[in-house]
Amino acid sequence: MTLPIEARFLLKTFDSKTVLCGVNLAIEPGTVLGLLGKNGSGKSTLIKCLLGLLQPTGGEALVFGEGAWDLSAATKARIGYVPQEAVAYPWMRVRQFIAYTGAFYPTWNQPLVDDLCRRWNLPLEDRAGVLSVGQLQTLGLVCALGHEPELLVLDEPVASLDPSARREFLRILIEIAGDDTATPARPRTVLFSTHITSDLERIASRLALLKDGAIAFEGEADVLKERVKRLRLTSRNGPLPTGIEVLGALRVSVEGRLAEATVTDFTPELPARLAAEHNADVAVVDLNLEEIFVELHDE
Amino acid sequence: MSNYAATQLSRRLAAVVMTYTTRPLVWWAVGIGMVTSLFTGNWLWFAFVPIASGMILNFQAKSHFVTPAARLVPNYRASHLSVLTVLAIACCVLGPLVGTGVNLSALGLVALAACLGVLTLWAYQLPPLFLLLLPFVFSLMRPEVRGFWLDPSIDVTPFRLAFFVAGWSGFAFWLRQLATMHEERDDYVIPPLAGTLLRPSRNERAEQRKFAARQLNRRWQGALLLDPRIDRALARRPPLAPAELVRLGLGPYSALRAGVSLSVLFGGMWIVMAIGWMTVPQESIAVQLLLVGSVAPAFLVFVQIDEKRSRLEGDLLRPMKRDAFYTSLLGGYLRNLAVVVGAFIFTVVMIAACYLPKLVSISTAIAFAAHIATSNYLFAAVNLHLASRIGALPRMAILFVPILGMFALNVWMWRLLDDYGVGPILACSVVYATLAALTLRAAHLRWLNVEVG
Repeated sequence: MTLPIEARFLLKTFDSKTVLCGVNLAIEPGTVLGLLGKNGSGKSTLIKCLLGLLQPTGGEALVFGEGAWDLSAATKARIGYVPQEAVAYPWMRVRQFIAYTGAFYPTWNQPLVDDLCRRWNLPLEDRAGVLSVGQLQTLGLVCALGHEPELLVLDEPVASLDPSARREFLRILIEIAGDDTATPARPRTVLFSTHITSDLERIASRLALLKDGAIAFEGEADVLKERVKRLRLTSRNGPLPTGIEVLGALRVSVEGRLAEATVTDFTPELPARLAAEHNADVAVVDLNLEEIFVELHDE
Repeated sequence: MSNYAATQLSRRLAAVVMTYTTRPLVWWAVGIGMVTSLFTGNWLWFAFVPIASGMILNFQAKSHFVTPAARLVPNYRASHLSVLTVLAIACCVLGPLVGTGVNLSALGLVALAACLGVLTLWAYQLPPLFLLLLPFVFSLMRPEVRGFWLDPSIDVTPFRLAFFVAGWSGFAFWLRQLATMHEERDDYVIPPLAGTLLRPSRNERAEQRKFAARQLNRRWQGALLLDPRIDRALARRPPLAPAELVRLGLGPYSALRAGVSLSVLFGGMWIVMAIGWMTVPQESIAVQLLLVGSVAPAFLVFVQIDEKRSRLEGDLLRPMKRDAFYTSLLGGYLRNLAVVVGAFIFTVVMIAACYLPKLVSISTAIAFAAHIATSNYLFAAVNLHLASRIGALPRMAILFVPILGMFALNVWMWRLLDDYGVGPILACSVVYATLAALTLRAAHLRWLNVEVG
């Protein structure tokens, strides 16, 4: 089976600024992948390169095995996309814009769309131009889901939604990911970018961490949590030296008899080794995704 | 009690002035004004400066007052209104005075500039006023009207004084409107000129969306013309092909409506001239037909491509090949232009046949149609080519001088009619058509490589 999305050594520069430097990413069918990164880390640029909206400076982006820059109509019909800034024709009423979008897709599921509009309270008779940012984003989501795409790509989909709409959206995304319509032959894949780590923990089966224009980590969230730990050292005899070194540490701070280190390659043997090296008691602290995100970006 | 100490007046004013000097739009306008002054040393200059100044001041002022800062930042409004007043005086008084120098009535000149500028400013509040501007400007073609405003030997000082007072009172009321701007007012939106900038910000795009929708909600045409048209198109069986859908998404109104509006506006004016209500020589009317016809239809659809550009991020992922999508997009644009050109040519030929029979024959009608159509297609092709990289306003500035050149060439070609017949005109049309086809091909290739988002 071809991969829904694949990036090989993807490079993107704007004038002299390099935003993506050799990104490699492969998303298996049926995966819900959360793309995590700071503001300006290149999440949107990566998504746009993967969908053929931006032309990579180097490397390759593939969607269902086709070059992203020139996708066939059939492949595009398998994609649903909600940009960060949802677009609609301001002069059309909401119902007209939905009908307009549906007219492009032979597999348009109007009952599903009607249901989503009802659940999200979309004002069908209002013109799209007067919708609030959140309502516009919701309209974008409805239009992206209407043709039941195999690949759903969402660029910061919940950033503009209020807490209740965000919760409802995530619930539906879980439904979509859990899938009631997809078949084993056509499993649904979701790629969404965010910097809200609690959303990722709720729905993403895997996550990719974009940092300095490259994927710093790609895998299951639990694996990341197992790898990134905080270690607290308490010296048994007097103050610790200020320049102590911990292999693979993102950050080490020392204050008298206490030291704290965050490591990215934690192994079960590491605490015992540090305890022996520094004659200290070592406590291991688990971190949640938000703490890991902060640690990784504040190094 | 608070002891609030305001910042220095000079610092505040300097900060406000900087918002003008750092905005490229203002410099483009100044550049266009300078070029225009080189080409037109006549009455058109007196009309152009205050109208253009009014448009720019309105855009600049609204973008400063449609913001919470206008109500929250101390001394914000007074500083901005002071600078606006100084600029208005500079644009409407000093510009024409320096430009023309001597032998004109200073009072009449200032009164004329004030009336035109203020009418432009208020037309954004009350759009029907735009309909008054055109006859106002064209009335200056009549020597007696020009004399009323500008000739110092004609003693109409009380009237000029009245217009002067009326004009500047209108400006004062406009400033008052600005100063009391708040979110619940219908005009709390930045005019859609923002859409013509190279890369409008997210806020500017949101403002454009709101503006477009509010305008439709306020106007009866929205419900009467727009909704049934979209509903009918989407309910059609068999359903519209993707290319037709792309064309439907080009803009709110049909091309036919644009063509009819253009024809009614200019057709009405020419009928008035042709039947003798205004003493204009027939040759002058013919030149006007040619000048307006050469680019007006293409101007009507000029920004359709810009409005589409901001939505490409969603549209480009519709189930169509990139090539097919852009062929549909550019093709739809050209089809819309064809409808407008067709309506315009039909109107002009009918008017000429009825009122200017000496100027009309089958061969001249065919030559006119070919010349007008190819002029517009050449203009549209260059516009499409540039639009892949450049916003509408800078594009307009770039095309300004070539358009003047095309005007001159077109008029010169028609001056050859008596001596050489329609041959040179048809040959010119063939050259235009060839250039248009080559430019369109280049434009298509260029759009295929456009990055969006």
